Amino acid sequence: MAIAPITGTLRRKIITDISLAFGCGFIFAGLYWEFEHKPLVQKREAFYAQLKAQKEAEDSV
Amino acid sequence: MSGTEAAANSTYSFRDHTTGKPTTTYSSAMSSPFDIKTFKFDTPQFDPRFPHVNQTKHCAQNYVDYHKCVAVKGEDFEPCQIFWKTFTSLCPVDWVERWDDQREAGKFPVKIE
Amino acid sequence: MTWLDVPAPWAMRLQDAASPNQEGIHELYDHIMFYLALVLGLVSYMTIVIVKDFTKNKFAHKQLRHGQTLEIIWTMFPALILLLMSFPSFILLYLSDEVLTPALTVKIVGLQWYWKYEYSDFVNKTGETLEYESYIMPDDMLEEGNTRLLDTDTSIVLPVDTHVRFIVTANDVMHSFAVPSLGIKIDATPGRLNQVSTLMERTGVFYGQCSELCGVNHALMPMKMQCVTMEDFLTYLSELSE
Repeated sequence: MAIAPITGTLRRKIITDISLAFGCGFIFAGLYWEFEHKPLVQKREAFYAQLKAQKEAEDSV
Repeated sequence: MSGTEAAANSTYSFRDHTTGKPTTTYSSAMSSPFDIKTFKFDTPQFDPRFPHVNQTKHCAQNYVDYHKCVAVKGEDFEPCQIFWKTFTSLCPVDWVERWDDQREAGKFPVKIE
Repeated sequence: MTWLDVPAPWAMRLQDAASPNQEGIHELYDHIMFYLALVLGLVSYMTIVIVKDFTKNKFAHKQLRHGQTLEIIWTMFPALILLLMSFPSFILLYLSDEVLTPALTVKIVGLQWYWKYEYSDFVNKTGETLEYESYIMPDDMLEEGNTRLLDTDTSIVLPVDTHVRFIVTANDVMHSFAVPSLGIKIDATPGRLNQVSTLMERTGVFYGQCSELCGVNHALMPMKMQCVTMEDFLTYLSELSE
């Protein structure tokens, strides 16, 4: 019984490598976005919301 | 207490951002055009002839236009004032002084009359 | 927002934004950082795999001479990344240049080695334009809390939430007017008036330094900007016009 020809190893390797590489990249990028960018934006938004509320409170006095 | 009264009655001081200590003190006695009730900003607006970052010609054109306008219509002609407002707001004081000197000496490069 | 209006030890990021322009720059910075992190992950993984598979491997893909698909991928992908970074950048660049409805014009003149500010929308009691010069605070006159090489004797005072136009020029050599918190940096060139605008969204003190090499005291001509409420601004103007 002959062994089935071994084909497509290069193709399979390229596809797994590229997808894993992009996976790695998106994990890094996602971590940056979630843990660096978003908290900073949230801090800024919170500050301006608080400033707006403070101004409205002063204006209504 | 409205803002105007607050400004008129209080001594105002700028505070240093880290120590909170006053740095400069301005005591106010408001008897000037800078009254918050009547105060209005007035500055030359966007001019489609000069849409770029470079505003040199915006200033120069209005300086020339003002003096041409005055030469034709006289000092008291009200519409000339728009040119005056524009060039005083845009041209550095030094430039205006230099150009005034040149005009008096008859050496201004643009014909005014 | 980490309350970073001045340089601080170990400060890693850009200074906090006080104007929409600088907020736009922050957004752009974070978007570009996203792509940078992506590329970092991708390239690191690829490097590790290549080193692992091909070190001392005499047989790996010995028939492989060239790979067209691979070439296409590694040309298109960087191009795509560059496009993704450049479009937001251009949008921001052209938006920052717009000066549409200024309420106030302030002229800024750079000289060797100080700045002169002219508030020519207003005149004093004798009808002259409001103008003053601003010099650096010498080291021996600094008080606690002042920032060395950044504090000045007088400062540009501007109202909050007001659209301000700056007309920037110089009198001797080229200087450059820059305030990082507002996202402003514009050359001050003799004989030319450059315009730039800002809208400050919060009160505070913002600093900048001359950003064009202008001679020996290039480092000693900082600019200090105080953003105050409308009432305080008018009080300041009436003081100035006395």
